[in-house]
Amino acid sequence: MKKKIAMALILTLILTAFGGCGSNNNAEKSTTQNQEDTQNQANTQESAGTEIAYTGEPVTVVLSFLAFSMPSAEGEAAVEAAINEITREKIGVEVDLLPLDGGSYTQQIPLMLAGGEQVDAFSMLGMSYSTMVNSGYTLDLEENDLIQTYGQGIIEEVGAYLDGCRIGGTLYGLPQNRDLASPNGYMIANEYLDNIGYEYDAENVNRITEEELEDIFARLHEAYPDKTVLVEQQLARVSVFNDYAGGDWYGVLMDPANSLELTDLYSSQEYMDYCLQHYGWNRSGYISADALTNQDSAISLVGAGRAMAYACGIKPGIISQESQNTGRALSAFQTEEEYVMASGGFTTMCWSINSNTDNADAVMRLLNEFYINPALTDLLSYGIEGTDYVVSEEGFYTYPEGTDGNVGYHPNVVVFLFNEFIAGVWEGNDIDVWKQTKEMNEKATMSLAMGFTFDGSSVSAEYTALNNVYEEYRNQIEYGFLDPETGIPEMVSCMKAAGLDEYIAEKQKQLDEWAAAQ
Amino acid sequence: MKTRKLKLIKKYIPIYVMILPGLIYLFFNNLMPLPGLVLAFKNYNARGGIFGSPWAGLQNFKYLFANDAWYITRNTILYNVAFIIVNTTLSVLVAIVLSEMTSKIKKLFQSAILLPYLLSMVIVSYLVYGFLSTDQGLLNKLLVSLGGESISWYAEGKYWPFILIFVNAWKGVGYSCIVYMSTILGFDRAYYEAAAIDGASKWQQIRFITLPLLKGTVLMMTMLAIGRIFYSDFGLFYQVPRNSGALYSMTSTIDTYVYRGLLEMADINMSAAAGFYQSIVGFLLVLGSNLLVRRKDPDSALF
Amino acid sequence: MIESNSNKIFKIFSYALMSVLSIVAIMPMVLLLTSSFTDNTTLIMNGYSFFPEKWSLENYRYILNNSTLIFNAYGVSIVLTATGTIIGTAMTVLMGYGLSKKDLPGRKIISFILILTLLFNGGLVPTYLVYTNVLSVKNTFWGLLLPGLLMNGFNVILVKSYFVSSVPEEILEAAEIDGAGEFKKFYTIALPMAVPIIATIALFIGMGYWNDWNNGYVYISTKTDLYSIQNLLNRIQQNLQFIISNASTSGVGQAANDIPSEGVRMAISIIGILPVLIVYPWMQRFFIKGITLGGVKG
Repeated sequence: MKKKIAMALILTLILTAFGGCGSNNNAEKSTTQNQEDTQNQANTQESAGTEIAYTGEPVTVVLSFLAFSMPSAEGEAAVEAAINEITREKIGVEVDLLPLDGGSYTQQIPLMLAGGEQVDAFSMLGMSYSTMVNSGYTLDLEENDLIQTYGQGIIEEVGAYLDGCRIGGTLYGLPQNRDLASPNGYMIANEYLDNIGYEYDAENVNRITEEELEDIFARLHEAYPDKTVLVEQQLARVSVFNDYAGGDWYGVLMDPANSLELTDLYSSQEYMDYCLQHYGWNRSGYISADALTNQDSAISLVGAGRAMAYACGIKPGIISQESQNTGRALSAFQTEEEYVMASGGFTTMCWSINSNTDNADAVMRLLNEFYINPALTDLLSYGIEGTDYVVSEEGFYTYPEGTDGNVGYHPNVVVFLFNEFIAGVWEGNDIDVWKQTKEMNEKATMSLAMGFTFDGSSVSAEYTALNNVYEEYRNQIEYGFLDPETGIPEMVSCMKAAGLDEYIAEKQKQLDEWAAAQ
Repeated sequence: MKTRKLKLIKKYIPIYVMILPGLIYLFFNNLMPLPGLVLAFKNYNARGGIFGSPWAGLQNFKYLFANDAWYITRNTILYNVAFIIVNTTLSVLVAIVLSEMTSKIKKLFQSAILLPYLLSMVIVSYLVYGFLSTDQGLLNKLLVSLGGESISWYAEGKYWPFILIFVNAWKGVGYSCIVYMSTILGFDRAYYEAAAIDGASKWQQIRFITLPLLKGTVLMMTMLAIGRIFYSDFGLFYQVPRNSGALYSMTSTIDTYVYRGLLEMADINMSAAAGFYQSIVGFLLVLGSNLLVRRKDPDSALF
Repeated sequence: MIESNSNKIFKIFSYALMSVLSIVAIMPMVLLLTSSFTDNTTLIMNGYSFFPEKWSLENYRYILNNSTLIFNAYGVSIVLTATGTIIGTAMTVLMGYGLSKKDLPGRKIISFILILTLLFNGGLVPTYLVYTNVLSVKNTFWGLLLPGLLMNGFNVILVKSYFVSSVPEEILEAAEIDGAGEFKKFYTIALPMAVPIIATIALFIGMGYWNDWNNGYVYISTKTDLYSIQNLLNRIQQNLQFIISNASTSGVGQAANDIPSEGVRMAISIIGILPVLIVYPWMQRFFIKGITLGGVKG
């Protein structure tokens, strides 16, 4: 036995030596090398006045993003060529698009970064921003005045929100221009409302009270006992007014405009009220008995006629968007007046640059161009005009005649890209939907914690335990299958056993330190 | 002794050539990535790569032993033990029965029981849902039509050990019985002929010839399964229960716990720690059981 | 007479058992089949049923509309499985035979390494690094063929045990006396006797390749024409999970419309099983005991 163990150990040692060869040598480039690269650029810049002309070899930048509908090889190549037409001369950059489909995006990006493959810029959609930063994958965007020199356009467009992407004061990501906050409400199918004789406005958002909503649900249920009234979904982890400072819901700011004190969301009266409401709905039969295990989206359930209403963030254009998605006429009902622009919301889909990129300047120039150039945005979001989309007389973008949506390039991602406010408006929205969105953003309650991000590495064990507890209870309580009066205390005590108080204390400590440093 | 050994080596050169491709493959595929296990003890940072990243001691293992976490270990072990017992018994039974069959319909049976193995666990979870969903499930419809009440299968944990053991057997027996079948086929028919001449019945033949001869294979398969005792089929424990919170205490295993805990974090270190933990335990168990087996029946030992 | 009765009971028991098991095994598959022919709205409204209210071919029509993608994936699966099975089986059988030589110097060490590979796994990231950086197989056919599936210790152990227990030393020694070298012994004697185990291993490896979606998921990111059928199906599922868990992120929900419906997923699954359904019965002939070389008293 001893001999065998010895052999095994020797073997492991040998392998370690070999293993070293296969490890991530590429990741060991230092920042000084980055600087050298910058100076060795094939591009020459003539900074005469405000015009910078680029000559010499263009730098290729790999841009990766999540595409829900993967483009065809030709479609992608055409779009790349069109983009390069613009960027080659203007900023000396050629882009190599790397769209990845939904589920594999979040797995591929960390793998590619760890493997040292060229991915220069990528979105954080679906991944944890703080984990990625802590793993060292992201570049400090203010290093050597990178963003100040090449990203002025970005600063102008989103400058107010840049702080939202700082961790420990350093800027690692670029926020987007999109709908950043919206009030919560419900979409209900018109057909059923007509049938129960309820008067509503089909064009605009209906502002109603909670009691009126109860009334609508009750009447819908009475008229259609076999249908589900409300589809429960895992929306924004409980739409109770709060700012989930630090990026998770273990310890939130219940009064974000005025106080920086973190409290436990799940012990709050607001959470209890929310769950009681759903409990009542469930007992009254408005909720499907299969809600706990349902994997069909609300859109397909309502579209098929199995359910009648679902909760939704009410943003501009939502009526036409959801009506199109479900294939039914829907109306929007809003019950909330106030809504928060969450401090953690900017990092959900922000853009970062690979810390190992060869040419940070070129990448920043490219990103800057995307933020300010409507032509580029349209190319990236919608493809080639004429082939992948056409512009109607009223100015709406839509699929070309006869293609029925089967075009070479339509990744369905305009909202995930850089600056949706300068993009074309797809058919079915209001023509000034972006203006409305901007207004909606401005009306949101700003949180005092704007700019704070939490480093949870010291409490990661508690975090995983808390996640497991929450995942166990959330649907049961929030969909009304468990009586909140007993269920919530039970969940909270399990959370405390998992370390909730320690977790919140750590977050509060970092929040206080950050506030003091402001 | 040394010259004798050298002579053997020389004689066996063709044998070494035969083994070589396999070894090369195993080297690249399995051995080279092994040092990566150190990630379990490190705080991975892209700047340092795997070997340059700072050490983290045992910190990455903490979450696996957190306050409530004992139940995931309990579940994992108990389920695997149940799986080993149920699947082995059924597989051996089916293998013996099938190998004694001579009619054409045997092929049909064989294909039929293998079919479930071909389905991905995701599809299996849909099918299970088709039977067990509260509103539309076939089982509830049957119960109601017989005058009973429909049961919220996905909200009651107590049914699930049976459900999962059943699904696991349903999916796996058709596949694992193949091993036993081909082993049985390798047995010398002369034994059976001799026994038949001596007047032994089928049952007796099975008891005294087939089973003892099969013992070695069963032991080997069991030991290998023991080595995986801390692992679980993620699809089975996550997809089939449809991630219903009410079932967690009965259906959570180490793998699902890790997945749920790290859902948004994608923490390489912590998942590496989990993998390491599972491997080490399995390794020690196999070493132990192999020692035991070697003492009793050296030919059946793994090494 | 007693003998015959008890044998009869055994027979009845056998057929009864296998019939029950077969029905239990097939029943859900029938459900799968019927749901693939069900109109999607009916699926959502009524759930699965053996007798759907509304039959429809729309799921298969969807497949035909996306035929290039799907049939291409089919082709990939078939070529991959064929190649992998042949190479993998050869490697496994050779290694298994080699290790069956009880007096082979170094046998214990090699066996130990084999077990080691079964019990320890370096993890996704290190394996990925080896295959991508050292072997450069990303986005190539090799990326589908090599990682994980070509050969594993379990199969080698199976082959080794088979040779040890079913190919008696005496026969091989007899051949050696007649002047045969190691290769010849293997090729002319051991191999023909190993037909059942070769078929078994080929089946295992083949099914491993056919069912695999992991390699495609990890190693194929840009070359969509290298997707296998199972990889395709799995991607759809992963995209769906992504949408469900990120539903709160504005704009994600509507992507759900691009995901093929449940009925289509069922149909793709059916297509994914078909080739195996055809090949397996054909392969079963190899599970019949091959050549009997006359008894050797053990």
